[in-house]
Amino acid sequence: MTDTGATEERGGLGAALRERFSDAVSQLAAAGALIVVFVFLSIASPAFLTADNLFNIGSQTAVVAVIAIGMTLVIITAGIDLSVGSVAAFAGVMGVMMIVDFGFPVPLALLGGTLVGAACGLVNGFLVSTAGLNPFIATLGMLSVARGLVYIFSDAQAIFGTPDSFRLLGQGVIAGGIPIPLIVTLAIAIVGFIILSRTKLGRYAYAIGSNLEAARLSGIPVRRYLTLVYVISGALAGFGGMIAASRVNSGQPNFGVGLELDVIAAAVIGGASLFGGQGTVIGTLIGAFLIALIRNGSVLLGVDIFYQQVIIGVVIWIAVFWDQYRRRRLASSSE
Amino acid sequence: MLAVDGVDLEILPGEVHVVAGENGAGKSTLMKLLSQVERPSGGEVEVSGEPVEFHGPGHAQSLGVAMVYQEFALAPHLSVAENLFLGREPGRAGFINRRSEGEEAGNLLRRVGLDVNPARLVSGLTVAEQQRVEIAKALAIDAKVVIMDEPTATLAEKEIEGLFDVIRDLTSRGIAILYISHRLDEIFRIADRVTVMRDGKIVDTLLVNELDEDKLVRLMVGREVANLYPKPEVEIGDALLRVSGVSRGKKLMDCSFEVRAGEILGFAGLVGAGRTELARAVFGADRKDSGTVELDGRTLKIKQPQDAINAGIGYLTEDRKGQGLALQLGVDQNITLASLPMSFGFINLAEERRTARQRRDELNIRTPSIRRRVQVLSGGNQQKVVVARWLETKARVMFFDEPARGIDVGAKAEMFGLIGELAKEGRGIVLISSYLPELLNMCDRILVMNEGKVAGVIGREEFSEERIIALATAGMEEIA
Amino acid sequence: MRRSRISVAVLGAAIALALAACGAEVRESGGGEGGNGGGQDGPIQLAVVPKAVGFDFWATVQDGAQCAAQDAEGEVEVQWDGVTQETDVTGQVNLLTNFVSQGVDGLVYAATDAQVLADVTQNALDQGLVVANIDSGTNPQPEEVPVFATDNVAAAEDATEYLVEQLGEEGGQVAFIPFQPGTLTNDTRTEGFMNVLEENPQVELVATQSSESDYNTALQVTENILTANPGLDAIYAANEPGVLGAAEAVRGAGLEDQVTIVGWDTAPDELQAVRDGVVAALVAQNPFRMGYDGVNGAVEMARTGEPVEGGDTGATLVTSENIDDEEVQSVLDPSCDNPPTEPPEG
Repeated sequence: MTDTGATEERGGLGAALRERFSDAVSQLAAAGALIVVFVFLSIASPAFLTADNLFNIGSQTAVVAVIAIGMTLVIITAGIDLSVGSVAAFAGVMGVMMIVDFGFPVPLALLGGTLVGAACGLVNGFLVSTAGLNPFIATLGMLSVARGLVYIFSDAQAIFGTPDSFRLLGQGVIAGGIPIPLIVTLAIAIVGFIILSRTKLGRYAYAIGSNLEAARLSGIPVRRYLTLVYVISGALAGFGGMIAASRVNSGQPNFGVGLELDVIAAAVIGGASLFGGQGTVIGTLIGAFLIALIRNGSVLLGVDIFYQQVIIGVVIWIAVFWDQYRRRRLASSSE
Repeated sequence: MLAVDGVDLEILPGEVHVVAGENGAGKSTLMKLLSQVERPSGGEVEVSGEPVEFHGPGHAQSLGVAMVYQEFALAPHLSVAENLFLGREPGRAGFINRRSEGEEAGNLLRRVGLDVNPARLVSGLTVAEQQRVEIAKALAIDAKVVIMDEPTATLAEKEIEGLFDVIRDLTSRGIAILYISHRLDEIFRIADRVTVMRDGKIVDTLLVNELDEDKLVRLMVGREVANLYPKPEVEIGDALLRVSGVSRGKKLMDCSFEVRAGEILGFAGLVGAGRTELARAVFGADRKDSGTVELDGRTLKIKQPQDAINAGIGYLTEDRKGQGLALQLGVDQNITLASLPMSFGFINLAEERRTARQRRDELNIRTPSIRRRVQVLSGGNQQKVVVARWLETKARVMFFDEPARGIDVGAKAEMFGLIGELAKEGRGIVLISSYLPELLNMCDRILVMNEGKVAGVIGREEFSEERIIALATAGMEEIA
Repeated sequence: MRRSRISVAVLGAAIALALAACGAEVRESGGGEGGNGGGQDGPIQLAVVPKAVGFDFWATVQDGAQCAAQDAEGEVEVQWDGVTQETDVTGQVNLLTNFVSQGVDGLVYAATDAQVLADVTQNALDQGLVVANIDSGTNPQPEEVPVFATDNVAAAEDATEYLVEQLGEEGGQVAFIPFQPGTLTNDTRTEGFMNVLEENPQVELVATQSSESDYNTALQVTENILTANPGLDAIYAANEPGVLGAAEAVRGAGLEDQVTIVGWDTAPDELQAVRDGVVAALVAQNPFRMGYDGVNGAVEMARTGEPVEGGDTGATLVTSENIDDEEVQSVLDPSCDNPPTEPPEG
């Protein structure tokens, strides 16, 4: 079989730099786009750079960003989690019910909601790693199951009755102006970064996504780590759902319909590849903020919500096209 | 550097013209230009004295230039007849005349010596049979030149002989065969003339009897390659690995063998005979129904690769890109994949890099940085990364499954030298290969498998191709 | 070792966070760029937000709003935007919050969730904006926020009376298709319906299935209801998707003569169904007037700084008999030249 390895190393140091650069460019491209959009909006709308508006952006992005960090981990393993929207709603409603119906203190309910999400993730993980279901199919099923469960448990009605302290997570501020949801997002991002770069979980996630069989033959307990990845995604979806519930101080069974698309878009724009083996927390954060800016800016500029959809879709295309282009160049440079 | 640079080539009717060269020499690109899959940026092509314009693969075929691809260009869900006439179906007004299609197909198959019903689906044929169909396609378009790209890469010995028969038949009718290869012994068996390419240019075109192995290698590599198969003198010790009674369904039936310290044991056999399956079963990559594995006299309990690795067994897969390497990860990350250096629950990145650098120097892995993605390394260097990984696991028994596949001559020699060194250091090596010269040169003993069973083990004193083939094919039918 | 440096950093950050968290509080509305509450003469910017975009009903609200902006004194600009589903509460909250930050002078909107949106209204008021609700208010409804909506209870009672009349003395079986239990609009339309049913025991409620404000869902649940209750005599559907879905199901089953449909809203397809005889009567609200009165109310509050009272924008029962009357037509097909700003007779 004709091999695609080069006889000599091509390009030497220059090529090495170009390759790291290409990785960074993928993130830089998203960061660059973020900066461009930010500057553009600052100029085009006087209301953009106000403390109020920036605060809104910081808080509104939190839900998507937190869940997207979990999604990034899943995508790195060449998987996908379509259930995050439903799981977020499910966890949010259950968490609120814990407070309202069972008198849990708020922090315990926050934990409870997160665990509900983790439990859903465990089911997903089992289906993917052990039952051998395609992640798309497995999580698609959970999307439906979780949504149905929300409606059943909540009787399809919003649940009210949480104390004011419940709003802190999604609407609170610290030190005179920094939104708590933003801080929470950054904290989770830091933990996510550490996991991806310095732990076995992170390393094995990249390996599994890059080459499942190679990982297995290297002795990596693939099933265990694959399950763990989905549990984390579910837990973060649950926590994101709690943030969302906190923002409207109620359990909303209809929350999160279609949320997975924004979440996946954030990860993909940030450089995660659906083929696996690639993705970073920073990139995902950038992607999440880029989408939030587009949505926020659209309101400020009076752009119809439908145009927003079009714009975000085009941005996704560009991001994925760039990713494909890069993979092809990388593959051909090794010919 | 151009892929193909100022090539002057002449093909005579009825000749077998081999184009030899390392990977990246430009052979494949040249063939793509001739079969009009790619457009040349300069130069001229003439067929039968008439200059030819570039219009695409269809045009090349209409001129009588047919290409037999390595990864056959066949539609597996269609029948043999349908594939033969794809794009040229007999019939009128959009309707296909199935009967004449079938008849014609039968004729063509006879000419290439393939005895299958043309209505059979291609997916049901063996690799060798599919290749004959590809060749029959060339006859279907009345080809004058048939280009073959590494045709024997996936064939067993007997099938190779069959292919050569067909080739001789074709050339006797005046059809020229342009044959790409880097398998030295085949070149000497089949070629009339040999053109050697290096770095996109033609080095020389010679009659085959003007060449010998050394000269050919020198032309291909550009320098002296002292020894293709540097096997060191080793004192062979006691049995290191003992495998008894391994069975797995129909694939493996009561297989037993042992590997001694310092020894290189070869696994020979036809494709599908069970060599890879046996290695994988011992390694725990596949579940076995029964059998025991002993290392240093201790019985091992191997349920998954992790167990084998912990015990000191390593397995370098057949298909390094598909199963061996995480292409997007760095060289250092691939090297530590089976043995991550940890401290306090976190990966010790500094030590990882140290280890990678050490191995890089030790194994002479050519890469400017150990952080580079392993995807961009050449085949030979990628293979070394895999070896480094297993060295890191302190493996004492290592299974090398087709380690030299798809690697240049120069790199191959290096790889075998490495294997020899590893053996010398007291390890037990199992070398699985489909290329007999490799086994005959490198191994101390050769185990031959036949349809899931161990047909026999031959010692070095008794080495011969005939014996191996005999054991490998005992009780089998001829290919038609 | 590098690794321990990272852990120290993380620990430090966690401690800092915990300490700061002691000072955490829910954000009070900061100084926004919102309009002042003391009255102004200059140009006024209003954000007009329906429950969702993409429905005929809300499109008419938009017409009314823009008509009012056109006719008003001085310069009034209407910015129209909405989410794509009436159930996307969080989306509407974000949208309105962004509008407030943007610096509009007032909000005129229909609340997707009465309780959740109360916070948004309060936040806007605190920042000096004027707020008016149309179609659906909030709970609690602040005094200074008028509501321009249909008196759903009364209109529902009228519609149900008509339905009972159609069934005659023997009465019969009726099915109910609500759309979003828990919302004010839904529940008041239910209330009126139930009130009349109580007084008419000859009419029996045999099925209740929500359409979730989705046409396809309405179609499916109605088909199922028809299958489960072959003797069904009437259907009461509480909004546009419910009526359309029920009508389609009845048509599909060929039961136009057997089943009397009475429902809400007046999308073109619904009116056509009335002409075709599939639907007996529709409660025509006056969405145009909601937009019109809502914008006018907001403008007045912004200009004078004085609170304005809300009102019943009225409802008309449309049947095949009166569908072509001029007054009814002006409600069904309102235009800025002839705005139906007074409730029609009858």
